[in-house]
Amino acid sequence: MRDSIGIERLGTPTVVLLTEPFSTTAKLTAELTGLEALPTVSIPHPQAGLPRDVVYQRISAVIDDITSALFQTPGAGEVVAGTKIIKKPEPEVIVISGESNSDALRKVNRHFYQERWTDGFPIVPPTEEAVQGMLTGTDRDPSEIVALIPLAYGKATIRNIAINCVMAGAEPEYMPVVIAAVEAITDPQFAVGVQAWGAAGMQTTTGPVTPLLIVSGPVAKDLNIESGYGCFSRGHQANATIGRALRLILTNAGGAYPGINDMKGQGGSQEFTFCVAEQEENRVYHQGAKAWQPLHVERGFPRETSTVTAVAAWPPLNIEDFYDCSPKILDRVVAAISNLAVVPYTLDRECVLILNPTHAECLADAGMSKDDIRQYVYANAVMPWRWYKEQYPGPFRLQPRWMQHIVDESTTVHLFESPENFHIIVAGGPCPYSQVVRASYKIATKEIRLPKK
Amino acid sequence: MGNQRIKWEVLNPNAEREMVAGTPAPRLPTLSGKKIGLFANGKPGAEVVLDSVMRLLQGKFDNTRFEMFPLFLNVGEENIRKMAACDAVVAAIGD
Repeated sequence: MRDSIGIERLGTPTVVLLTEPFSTTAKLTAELTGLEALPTVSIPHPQAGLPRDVVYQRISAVIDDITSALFQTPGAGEVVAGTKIIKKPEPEVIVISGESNSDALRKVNRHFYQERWTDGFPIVPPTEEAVQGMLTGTDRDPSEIVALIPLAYGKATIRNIAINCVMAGAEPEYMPVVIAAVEAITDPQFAVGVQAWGAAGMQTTTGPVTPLLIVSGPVAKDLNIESGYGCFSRGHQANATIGRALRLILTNAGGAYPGINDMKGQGGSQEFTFCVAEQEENRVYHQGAKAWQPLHVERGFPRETSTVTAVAAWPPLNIEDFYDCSPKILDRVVAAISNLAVVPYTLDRECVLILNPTHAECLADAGMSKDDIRQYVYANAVMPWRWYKEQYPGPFRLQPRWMQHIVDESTTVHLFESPENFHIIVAGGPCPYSQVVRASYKIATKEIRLPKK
Repeated sequence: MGNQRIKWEVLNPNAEREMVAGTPAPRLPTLSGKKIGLFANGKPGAEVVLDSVMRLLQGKFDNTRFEMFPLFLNVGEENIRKMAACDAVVAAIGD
């Protein structure tokens, strides 16, 4: 929609065809970007995968609407073109009355829930006092705009971040981590790839994609961000509320609402929160010539710096291996990411292997560095071309050009473009279970800027 | 109603938005003799949809030319300018 709006602004008439569930999000996007009158034509959902003759019949039914949209000038609206419009949250302050504190708390939550400002769980009321307390966790100016959050491109200021952190139940000292998370998901690196959709895509996709936050460096321990047993489980305030705060910011500053313009068909429970620390104290990071480097060091940051890495994450895949201390552990990783259920239709996507300490130590004791692991997984995550083609019949332009010229269907293709697409961290308690998280596009890492005081 | 003796003031968690108002581009009197850009959003269904659009428009208008732009969201300013060089654009979200 935004691209079509850009074309209209250059003086070329457009019409957008979209499937019915996207109608509301399209109109909302047009309204949010100052061109409410942009014409759209709805067609039944879904289109992908239908026979061509069925699609042809559906388009036949609306072809006159398509041509009308290019012939007839849509309503221009009341605002003069070129006018800057600023829309502030209305009302800025909500007054809630109750018979008692518990009554008022219940009414605040009911109001926020009805306004779609929550994740469904109760929130901590963001009073001015609470927000001022949250702001003590950073020395950045409350009016500083950290990022514009799609889909509404609302200004995630330090103050707005603090409001949502209060709601999430975060502590003030978590603010720098949440701020860095906002910076990471809106960094251009997060939108690099064949499908360069970034945070906007994550907010509106039908796929169950949500940010995974990986915290590396000293701040993880300082803030008790769990990297050990149950690191993705309940019971850890920092993990729970840092991830939750980011989700509330995506909802409230980004204006993304499930079933309205966030079109995740099913979504997943990791949308509520998905945050973990890297277990840098594990011996694999310290032993021998092939000691593993922490993620942030691999990505160019000094070891003593703390960072947040954002991953546009698909639901995690369980890797189960009962102490077979050999590269066979990696065969299970390969099997998880190269089966027909999860084959990526762009090869530039990345993966994060979250190895539990048992698996990590087995591999390290077998002499494997992180690069050895990357190379092994890359080399073995392959599929016969004919299987891949059956999933994505061509010509499918998201494939690299070389793939479109394959003649011998028995050719084996790599499902990831490079060993560098794989990232590895250690997290969890000793056990037979690890996880692999596939990313929709590239990961992005941002430094956590702690207050100077 | 009861005794509403407790009053809480809480802050709206939404964010301020800023935009520039626009008006739609001038429309065309006909598509005959025009160049139509077909903008696919990179999902598997989009090009199939636009192929149907092209075939139907070819049957309704004379000498209409087409150019397919198999791009994705956030296509960049350069590609937007290329598409805007057409006389009209039909975009498809092919989910």
